[in-house]
Amino acid sequence: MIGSLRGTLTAAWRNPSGRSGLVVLGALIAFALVGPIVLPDPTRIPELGQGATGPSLSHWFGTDHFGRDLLARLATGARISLAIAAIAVALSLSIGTAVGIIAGSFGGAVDRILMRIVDAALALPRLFILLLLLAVWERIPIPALVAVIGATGWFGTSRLVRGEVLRLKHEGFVQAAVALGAGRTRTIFRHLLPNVAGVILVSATLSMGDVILLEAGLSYLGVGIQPPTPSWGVMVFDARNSFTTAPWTLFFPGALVVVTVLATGLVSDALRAAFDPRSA
Amino acid sequence: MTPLLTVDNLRVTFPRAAGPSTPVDGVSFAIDRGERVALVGESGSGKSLTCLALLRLIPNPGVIAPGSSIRLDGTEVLSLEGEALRAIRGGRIGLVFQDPMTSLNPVLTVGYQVREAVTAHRNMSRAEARDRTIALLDEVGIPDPAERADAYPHQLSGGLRQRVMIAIALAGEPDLLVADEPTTALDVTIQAQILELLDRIRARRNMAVLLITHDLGVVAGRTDRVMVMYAGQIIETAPTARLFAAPAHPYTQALLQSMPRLTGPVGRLVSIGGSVPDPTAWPTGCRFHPRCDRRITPCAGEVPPWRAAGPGQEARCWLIEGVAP
Amino acid sequence: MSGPLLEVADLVKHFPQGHGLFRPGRTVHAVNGVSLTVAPKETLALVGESGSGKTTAGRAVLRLVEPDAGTVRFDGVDVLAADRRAMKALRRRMQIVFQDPYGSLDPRMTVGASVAEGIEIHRLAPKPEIRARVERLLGEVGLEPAAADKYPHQFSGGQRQRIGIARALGVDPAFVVLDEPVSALDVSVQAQVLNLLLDLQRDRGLSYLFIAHDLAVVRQVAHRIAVMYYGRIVEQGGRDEVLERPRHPYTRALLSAVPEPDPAAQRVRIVLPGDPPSPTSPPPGCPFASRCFHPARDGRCAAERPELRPVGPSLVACHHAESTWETPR
Repeated sequence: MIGSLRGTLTAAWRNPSGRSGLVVLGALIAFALVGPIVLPDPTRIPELGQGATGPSLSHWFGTDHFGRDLLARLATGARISLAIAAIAVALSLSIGTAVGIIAGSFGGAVDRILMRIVDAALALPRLFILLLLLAVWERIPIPALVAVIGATGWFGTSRLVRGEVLRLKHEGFVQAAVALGAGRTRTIFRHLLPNVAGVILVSATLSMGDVILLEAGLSYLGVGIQPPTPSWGVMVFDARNSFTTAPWTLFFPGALVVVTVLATGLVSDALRAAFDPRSA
Repeated sequence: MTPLLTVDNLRVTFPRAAGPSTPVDGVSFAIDRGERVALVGESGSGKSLTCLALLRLIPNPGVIAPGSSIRLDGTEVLSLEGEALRAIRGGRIGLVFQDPMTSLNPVLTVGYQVREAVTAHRNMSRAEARDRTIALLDEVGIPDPAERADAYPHQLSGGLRQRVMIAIALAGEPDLLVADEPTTALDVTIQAQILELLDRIRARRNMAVLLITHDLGVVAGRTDRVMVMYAGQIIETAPTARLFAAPAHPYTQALLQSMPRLTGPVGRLVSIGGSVPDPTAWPTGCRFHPRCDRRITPCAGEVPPWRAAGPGQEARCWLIEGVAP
Repeated sequence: MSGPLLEVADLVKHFPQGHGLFRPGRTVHAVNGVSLTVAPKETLALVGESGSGKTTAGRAVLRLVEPDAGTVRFDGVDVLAADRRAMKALRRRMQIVFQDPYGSLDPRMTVGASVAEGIEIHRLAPKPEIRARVERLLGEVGLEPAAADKYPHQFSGGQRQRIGIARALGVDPAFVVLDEPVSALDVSVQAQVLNLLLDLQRDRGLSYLFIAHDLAVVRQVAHRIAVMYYGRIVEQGGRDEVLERPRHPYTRALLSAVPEPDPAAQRVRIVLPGDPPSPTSPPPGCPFASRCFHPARDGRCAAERPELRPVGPSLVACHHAESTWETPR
């Protein structure tokens, strides 16, 4: 691996668009960590329900149609949405990378079987599989939801990683390692993994955005996170009846989803460049 | 009579954070009609950028510096725009690249690609264009040209693909064919075929050829004049036979001595120490002086002037006493 | 002279190609029965053009591709029958240097880590001493010790090739496959690397299988030469014998195609017509018959494949190798 994690992050920080992405992501994470502590209970419905009110001094981002503070709900939603995305993506990347590397480096029958499974899985729309699963399993606990999202998201990654491994296998430096007597484990961990890291990173940020949108979609369809717990998706779902009269109830959670996806994209580009020693 | 092509003080610069680099730095030469000229240099010498500059194809963010001049038949190429520039590219100057695999579009038939070049510079009917295409494929020695026109690039061998590239370069009836390492990617027996073909076509069409190569062996017997490039500058120019018989610049001498040959002593070769300098930091004075084992006092500090070294031969070196030209 | 260090007999490697769902698979006959030997401290050059099978043959000897048939013996050990442990031991003694100085070094590893790799795999030195060994190896190939901390992209092509050589030397091999080690380099740098290879052979007593396409390069380093065409050796013999008295018409063509930097010594240029036959459909007779210019060529050439057989001091695969003839003008 080139340098330390810190070195890579420093390099990403030097890249202007990487820096803006990191700043936005950092702010979102801080908001998710600190917000719920200092802001009012996001699920509490005030007794004197005044309905949805626009942004004001007491409610900076306004309230929803139950009169709940939108900023507080966004903060708790950030916790849930970001955590779900991060854990689910980590899970799907791990599975996808492992499958891709095994298929690519073993080749032969192992490769054919694994790739047929992936092809079959890719042929089915992910949302359809998820809806089916969630229809069977009502009131799914959040950890199980994360596991299900993660376990259905690795197919594309495994294909990408396998393709890279097949290319790298014939590069001189991998052949040289084999000629020096390197076993499969050493070849995978010293040469293949570090060189597919760039592809994995890009895949990670693409899935990050995907998963945030997927969780929002599932919640919107009423099968993901269950109200009154707020996630950004749940908030968009809640806004479905009020957004014509109170557009801010839709705008703020929607905007946060978009901003998060964009920021991860910027960071991924910068990380990919930072991972390439030629750019140092 | 004015030369066909006159290049004067050509400089190509690339902006960089640490100050601009100048991979081509003051190149001047002329090519007459029908002349065969070679531009020889190692990688990093600037020879390929020089050739791209002739067609104004310098990749971004590079620019041709003000004060440079490229005149084709008296017309300043550097001030042409739009249609007039396109008439030069692939028209009066044809270009053949090194790698025939990546220079052809893999999803179009070779016939289509030649026809595209044929119709780019003149209006003609479909049938005329097709006849012209087949005639060109025939001229470059492609067997069964009418059938091969329907082949895709991957269906042809490397040698045939390079012949297709030459047919495309000939489509605009050029006065000058610029061939940038046309045989480097090919096997030696195929290389011989292509070089012979280029020479035959040149003789038949009385076209000038600028052959850009790193291999002095390719040049011998196939060109009239050789220009040797080092570190962004031409450092020696001479009639081909003269260059091989009596190279004047220490770099040319070392380059010739370091070539492995089929005759002469076997074993250790004469090698030039060090490596080609970086365009961001050219050495002062003579750019070859850090690697030259015959350097004298002025070499490191002062840029050597052009000096006549023999009939038609000039070199930039302080060691040359100067012979009446 | 002692017995050979490396003995290869009837080596075959075919690659299945395009085994589509509805297409019958075709087979590329890359190496078709190659036999050769390399003695201790000797350089055998394996010469041919692209597609001749020379690179595949070199890799099959090291089992970087698994041969389909044949035998490879190294210092008396059957290489193709070696199990994992025996193979690992063999890899210490047989090494390879690749053509492409850009793809042959891991871009994410420092040069020191690349050179140390063999030493680590075979535990040839305790951890604290690895660095010193790496620096010594770098010195041996003419690089500064500080090179160990840099990345490959910070070096020129010639320097990278030196690093690749240092990596191969790290395990202290007796035999090295040099797969076109100077083809991608500039002329002046090419001479530096060839000289280095000659010095290393002298100092370390190395044996080389030198894979190349350029006979002028081969002449500087080889003791013996084997010329490959279309997966087979067509001529094999001592360097001077092959270069001065070539007996196979293909060897003559290759020799005449060498670009010589001397217009005065204009030799007769033989320009071979056409390309080699398609690797998926081998002709029944001599694979060179379609391009041959031998005055005595006849119907037998197209019908019957010539075997490699002794002709004078060389081995030649040509029905008409005995007939002496002038190259046509």
